[in-house]
Amino acid sequence: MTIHSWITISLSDPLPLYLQVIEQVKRRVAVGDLKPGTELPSIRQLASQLQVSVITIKRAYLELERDGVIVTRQGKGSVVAERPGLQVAMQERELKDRLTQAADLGLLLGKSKTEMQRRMAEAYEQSQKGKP
Amino acid sequence: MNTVLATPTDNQLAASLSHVSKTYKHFKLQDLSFSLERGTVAGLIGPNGAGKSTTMRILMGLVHPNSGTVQVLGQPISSSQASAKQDIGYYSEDMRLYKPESILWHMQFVRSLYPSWDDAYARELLDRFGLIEQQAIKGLSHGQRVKAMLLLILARRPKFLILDEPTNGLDPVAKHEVLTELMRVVEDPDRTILYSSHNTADIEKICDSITFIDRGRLIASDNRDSFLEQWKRIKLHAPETWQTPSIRGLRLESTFHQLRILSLSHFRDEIPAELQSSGATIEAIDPMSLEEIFVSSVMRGREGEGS
Amino acid sequence: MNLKAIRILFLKDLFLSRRFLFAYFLAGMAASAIACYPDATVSFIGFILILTVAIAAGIHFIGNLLLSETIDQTRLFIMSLPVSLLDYSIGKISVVLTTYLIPWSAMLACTVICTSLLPWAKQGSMVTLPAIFLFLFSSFMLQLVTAVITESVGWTICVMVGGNVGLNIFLMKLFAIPEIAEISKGDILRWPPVIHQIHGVELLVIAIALGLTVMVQTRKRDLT
Repeated sequence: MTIHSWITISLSDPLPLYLQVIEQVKRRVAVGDLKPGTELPSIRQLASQLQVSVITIKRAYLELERDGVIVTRQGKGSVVAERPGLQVAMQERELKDRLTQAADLGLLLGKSKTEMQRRMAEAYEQSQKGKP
Repeated sequence: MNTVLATPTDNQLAASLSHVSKTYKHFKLQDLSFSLERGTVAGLIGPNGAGKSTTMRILMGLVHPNSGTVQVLGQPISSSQASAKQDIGYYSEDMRLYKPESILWHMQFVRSLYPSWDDAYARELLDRFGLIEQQAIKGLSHGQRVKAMLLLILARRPKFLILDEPTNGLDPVAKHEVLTELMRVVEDPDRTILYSSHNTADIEKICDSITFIDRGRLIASDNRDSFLEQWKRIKLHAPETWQTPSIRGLRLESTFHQLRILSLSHFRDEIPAELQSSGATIEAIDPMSLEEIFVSSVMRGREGEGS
Repeated sequence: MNLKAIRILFLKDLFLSRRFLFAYFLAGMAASAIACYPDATVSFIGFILILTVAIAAGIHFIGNLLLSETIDQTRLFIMSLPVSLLDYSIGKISVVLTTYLIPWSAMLACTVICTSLLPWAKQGSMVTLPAIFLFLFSSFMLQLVTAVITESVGWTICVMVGGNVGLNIFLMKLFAIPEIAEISKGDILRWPPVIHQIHGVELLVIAIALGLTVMVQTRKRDLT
């Protein structure tokens, strides 16, 4: 299966296109679909496959490289970084993002820290029940 | 901040117009200057009658400007020159093929003029576009006709494609087929596309740069991200007596009691503070879609503000 | 000027008009044959048919090859290809002339041959043939230059109608010349000086019209 079929981008998504690409690449790494060392399509190839502008993919790749998720080798394209703990790092990042989102929302709605902790525990238990 | 595209030097340009003007009886193209980098998809947008088609025809050497210079693929272009057109593919809705003849006849005719014709690719395109080569042009639906014309262009692998609303009137499947092939062109860093469309969503998605023309004048020409990031939609709360402050590029789009929705064409970091100090509370600052930008720009133009 | 491109465009137009070209050729031959019939009335009808074929061919090819490309926007397609305006113009003018001259010369040749060979034909009647055919050709050339200048079907038809009226007047005046009337009824073919003068004027008109056509067409800058 090729990478481009794992990435879906949409203009209706409020997130800018290049961020959607970045998010989804990080998601794939977090979930283990994109293993360290896996070759990524060239910027132009991915642009063509996703039917997005080259400039969008260029920007996404640049940031992914800056974040240490991918490595671009001169003249040989890009690969997923062979960094030990990359997958875990991505998982941690995603978890942190989601928790921050919840915290921000809680603050906006005026919930106290204790209330938020209680809610978190409740949600966790619910999820446990839902899983085999 | 976007530094992905460095400032291009001349030989990195696929095309450039410099102070191009063209006067018709009821329409004037005025002092148009912009350039297109090689290996990019450049979007050209503007309302009907803005001058997009005329601009594209000037780039193709079909229309002779009254003043200014035009360079395409490093050469000046004019109707006396045929050689530059060897590497250019031009499509316009106004173009017609010969109705009694077949697609195959047209392919053979075009092939006789282009050494770069790729027969294998042409057959692939027939297949991908779902066209029958023996079919006469008069028997084709609009979508099939458009695809046939694009096939004749794509099969000779031009370095520069000038496409004047190629997806107009195409059903979603045909449009997808066409965009897929156009994006294949993008895979080659040496090939450039100038693409105009009313479908701002398509432009927003595939274009690396956006050039905006209205009533014969250039409104903006910038790389896609810079262009989009300058525009913001601002939602704020303000008392009924509040007046829109005169900040450059700020325009009131709508009012609902205390809610004001404004569009801003040149965002600066100081502006939110300026708005706050004018007595308004900012509820949200969001990016605008290309369609919203397009409509707002044209409205501003009509009000005489310019954008 | 790219000879290869001109040749390709020329052959393309010839191919596109192949059916009509063939039809006019056949019709022309038939008209010529009828014109050489021994019966005076039938022969006269044949003569009218020759004129009709020539006039029809003229307006048809100018309309179909030249004007329709402008109206039809196939010209835009052709100009998007690597051909210069000069290539296009030369190719176009050449092919319109060729498609007209094929039935025209076929009829002229056929009529001359029939008249020379058929025992009942009056050899002297050939004295008016070149003058009439050259008049048809010059009328055609005027239509062509009109089409190239105005790019309008309406104006071209006006000139065609004018040419037809002119033709009738010309025929009247031509046969009113005593020398000509005399020779055309006789068996001996002679060429009096007056007929050379007429030919001269016609050839001059043709040359000027052709020159103007080429000049105007190749000077066009905007193709839309």
